[in-house]
Amino acid sequence: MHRTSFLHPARWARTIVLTGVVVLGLASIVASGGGSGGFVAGDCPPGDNCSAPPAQASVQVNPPFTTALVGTSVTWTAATANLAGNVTYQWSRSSDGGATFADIPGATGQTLTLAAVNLADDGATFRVSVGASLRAAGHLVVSASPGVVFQDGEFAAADWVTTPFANADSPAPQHTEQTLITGGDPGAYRRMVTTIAPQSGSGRVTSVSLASTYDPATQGAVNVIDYAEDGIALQSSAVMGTYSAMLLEQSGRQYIATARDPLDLLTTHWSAVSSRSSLRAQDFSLIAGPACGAAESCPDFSATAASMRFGYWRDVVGTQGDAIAHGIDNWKVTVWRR
Amino acid sequence: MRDVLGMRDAGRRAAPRPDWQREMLLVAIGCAALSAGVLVYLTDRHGARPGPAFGPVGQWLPSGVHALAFSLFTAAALGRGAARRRGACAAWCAINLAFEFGQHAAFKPHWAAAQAVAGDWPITGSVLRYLLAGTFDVGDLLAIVLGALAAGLLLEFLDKPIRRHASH
Repeated sequence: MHRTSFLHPARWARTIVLTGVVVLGLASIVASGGGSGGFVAGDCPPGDNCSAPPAQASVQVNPPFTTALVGTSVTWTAATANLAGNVTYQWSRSSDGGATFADIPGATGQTLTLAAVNLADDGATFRVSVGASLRAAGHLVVSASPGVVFQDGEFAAADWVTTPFANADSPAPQHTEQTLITGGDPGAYRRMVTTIAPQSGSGRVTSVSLASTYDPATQGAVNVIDYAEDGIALQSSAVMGTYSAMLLEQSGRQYIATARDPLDLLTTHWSAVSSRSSLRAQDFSLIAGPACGAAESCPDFSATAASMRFGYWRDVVGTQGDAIAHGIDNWKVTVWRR
Repeated sequence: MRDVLGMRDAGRRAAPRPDWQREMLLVAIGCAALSAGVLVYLTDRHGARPGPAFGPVGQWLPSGVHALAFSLFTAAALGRGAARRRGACAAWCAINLAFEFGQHAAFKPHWAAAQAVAGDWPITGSVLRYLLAGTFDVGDLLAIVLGALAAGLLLEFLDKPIRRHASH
């Protein structure tokens, strides 16, 4: 029987074709996204209505909440979507909590800047009217003294206490974390893997900074709190995602800052979607600890309140057994005093 | 020796299909099968749930047709021979099964740990993201085995000598 030589061009051509087929086959498996549940990542985040009609024209003011020190400048921008043609803007101001507004003369651009805010601006609401019917507002808190800042971008293990969170809806997940020196925003960051427990669709953890104690009795009553973090979902798909929120711990109770604003899913790149400004006591929801009595303030921001500590809360959603990786960097809490 | 009684060949003889024809046929069938799988992704996998065009079949069809199509492509590239045919089908069955088993929840903590080390590398990063984001499904396993079996049967059929009228 005739055998083709090893050096024969036909043999090499066959080998190249075969290699191409194998590479293409493996690449197409990986590109498919993964099995029957492997819908293309980012198609439809958990909780979203994917069959919703196209979005309507809208406007929002960025940032919606701002805390500023007396004498500093503040700028708001009107961000519009799905608007065609010429867009007109008119900014107006309310000093009575939004009951009445007065147009600001000459403030007809997409942005509004106050060059140096003062205490008379504290509590003011600035509204933009776009066209005839679209309106959105930004809220301003002005502080006479600089905020007390707690921040961490290095995440030394000894500085944090992380606890898998359990309640009637959600058994405690398995959770691991490590500090990586690269890959953050920039540099070091904390990488976490939360594995959803059996019979559950989510896993929650709380993480408290041991170096973030604020004592209202000695440092002053709290007016508002600004929270900032850069978060990342290292896995995200149609069937899994990660939420993040600020955590506050006081008198054996834990609260998360979710009462005012809905949570946003972390994206697969570093972003500040979980950051919030001008958080008041009523913007926090109790998640653990004794129920709050009728006469209690929960949390208590007054000058006689117990000391408090801060951290973050993570909620991963998926299916049981999913090990979902996520990260945090540039964690920062600013306490603004009265 | 002349076959005077016509016992050896009663006017017809068996001959293998020409190589080019066999290869074109295998590639054409493979491409058609893959197209069906691509169609599932285009029509049924744009939401959080399986779409209406393929129904429940759409959940497993891509896994099955992948094993089928790439077994045929590989068999076309390897050439004739029972061992090559069966090897191609077995190899793609094993590869697809390995990727499917790799999506099982039991392995995900390991993939998540590996991602910390190799998550940024171009090939390993993509593979780990696939393994972590995908969902293990017994239906996919069945579809893969059926796809590879179908490819094997098809190859056995296509590689059988075809009977033709003898040319005089």
